[in-house]
Amino acid sequence: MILVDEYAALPALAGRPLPALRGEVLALTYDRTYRLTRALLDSGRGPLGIRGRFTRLVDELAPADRHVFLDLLADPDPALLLIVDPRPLTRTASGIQNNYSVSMLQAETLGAAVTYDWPIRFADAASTTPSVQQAADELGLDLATIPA
Amino acid sequence: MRDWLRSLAVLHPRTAEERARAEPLSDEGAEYLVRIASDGTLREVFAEMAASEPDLAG
Repeated sequence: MILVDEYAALPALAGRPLPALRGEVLALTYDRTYRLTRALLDSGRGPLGIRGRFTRLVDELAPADRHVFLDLLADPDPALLLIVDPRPLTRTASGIQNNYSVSMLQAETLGAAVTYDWPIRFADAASTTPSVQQAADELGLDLATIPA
Repeated sequence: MRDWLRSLAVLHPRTAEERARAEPLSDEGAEYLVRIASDGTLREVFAEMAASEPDLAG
């Protein structure tokens, strides 16, 4: 099991996993799943009569593909991608966020790696902020960036 | 609005058979998703999200 960021999970869900991850089962934390869902969910028109905030990504995806993708993300093939249950990680992520200057999203990823001894592979170098790198180093985590 | 929000909930995971029968992404859709993951487009949206919701940063 390999913990990944959305930049690695998205190609895998599209059936085109990154070369470094082919044949691996990937794990995506709840917060990252939530963030990716929001980025690609057509929010329609809300009560203020304006469209959702992130529709520029949605508009370029055919409605049928959007539906297929959101189903894949909500209920992925377990042989391909695991959505990590956040409940067992709540205290661990809280402890991390109380000790390192990281976001809840980052703390949850680090907490999953600490708890399950899973390596972390990010496909975007920006996912490894200095605080994430510091936490990974001090906690003895296997964190690396892979080519996209 | 409420009906739409209720329709988004995924209350019953699909069976393996249902998952196997599901329509696949089109080639164009798959290529688009791969592209936005690597060309900075998705990163820009996440940065916009994090500007107002810092716990989603990173």
